[in-house]
Amino acid sequence: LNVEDFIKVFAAAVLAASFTLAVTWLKATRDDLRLSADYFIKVLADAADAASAYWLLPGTNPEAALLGVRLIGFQERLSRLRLTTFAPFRQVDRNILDEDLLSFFDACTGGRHGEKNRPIDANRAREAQAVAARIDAHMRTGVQTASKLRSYLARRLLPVGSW
Amino acid sequence: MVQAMTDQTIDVASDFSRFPGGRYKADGENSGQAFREDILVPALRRAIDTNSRVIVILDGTSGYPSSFLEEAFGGLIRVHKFDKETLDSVLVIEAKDPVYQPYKGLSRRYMQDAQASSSAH
Repeated sequence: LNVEDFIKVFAAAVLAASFTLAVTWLKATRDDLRLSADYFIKVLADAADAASAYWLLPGTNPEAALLGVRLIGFQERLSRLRLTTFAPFRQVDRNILDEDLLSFFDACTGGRHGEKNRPIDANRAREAQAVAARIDAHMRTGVQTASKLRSYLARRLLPVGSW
Repeated sequence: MVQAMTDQTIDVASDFSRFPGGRYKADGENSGQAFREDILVPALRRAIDTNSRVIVILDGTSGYPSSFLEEAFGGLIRVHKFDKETLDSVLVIEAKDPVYQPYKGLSRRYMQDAQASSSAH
C-alpha cells in the first residue's frame, strides 16, 4: 500500500463515516421531533379533556374550582413546551399553530372562566376538543416538513416567540 | 403645550398580583376588572394627558386565565370606549420571557375583537 493508495482509502473511509454520521443524526433528530410533538399532543389532549370536564360542570361544583386551576397550569405547560416543539416547524406552520394555541387558551380559560355563578357551557366544552384536534392534525403534518437542523438547534437555543 | 412625561411601567406581578384571575371584582380581588379599573385605566388617562406611554409587563405571574386578559384589555374598548388606534400608540404590552408571549398575543387579540365588535354595532 503506497501513500497515494492510503490517502484514497482514508478519504473513502472518512466520507463513508461522515455519511453514516449524517444519516444517523438526521434520523435521531427526526425521532426527537416526533417524540416532542407526541408529548405536546398528549399534554394538549389532557388539557382539552380537563377543559371539557370544567365547562360541563357549573361554577358552583367544588370540582370545577380544581379543574379551573389545572387549566391555568396546562396553559403554562403548553406555553413552555411550545418554545421547543414549534421551533423546527416552517414559519407558516408556526404562525398557524400559534394562532390555534391562542384559540385553545381562549376555549379553556376564556368566557366566564373563574366566575362562581357561571352555568354549564357545552359549546366551550366542544370548542376545546375541536381546537385541540386541529392543532394535533397540523402538528403531524408540520413534523413531515420541519427542519431537522432547526430541531437540533432548538434544543440548544430557545427561540423567541413571534407575537 | 403638554410636555411628554416619562413612560409609566406596570409590572403585573409586582404592582398587581402574581396570581391574576377571575373576570369581575365579584370573582376575587385579582380580577381583570380590578386590574383594568384600579390600575390600567388611571395610568392610561395620565399617559394620554401627558403624551406618554403605559408599558404593561406580563412576566412573572403564575399564568393568566384568558377571561382575565379579555376583561382587562378587551374591556378598555368594550367598557371604557378607548379606541384601538389610541391604545396602539399609548399602551405597550410586553412579555420579555417567551413563555408569556401567548398571553401577549391573546391580549392583542381581545382588543382587536372588542374593536371589531364595537365597530359592528
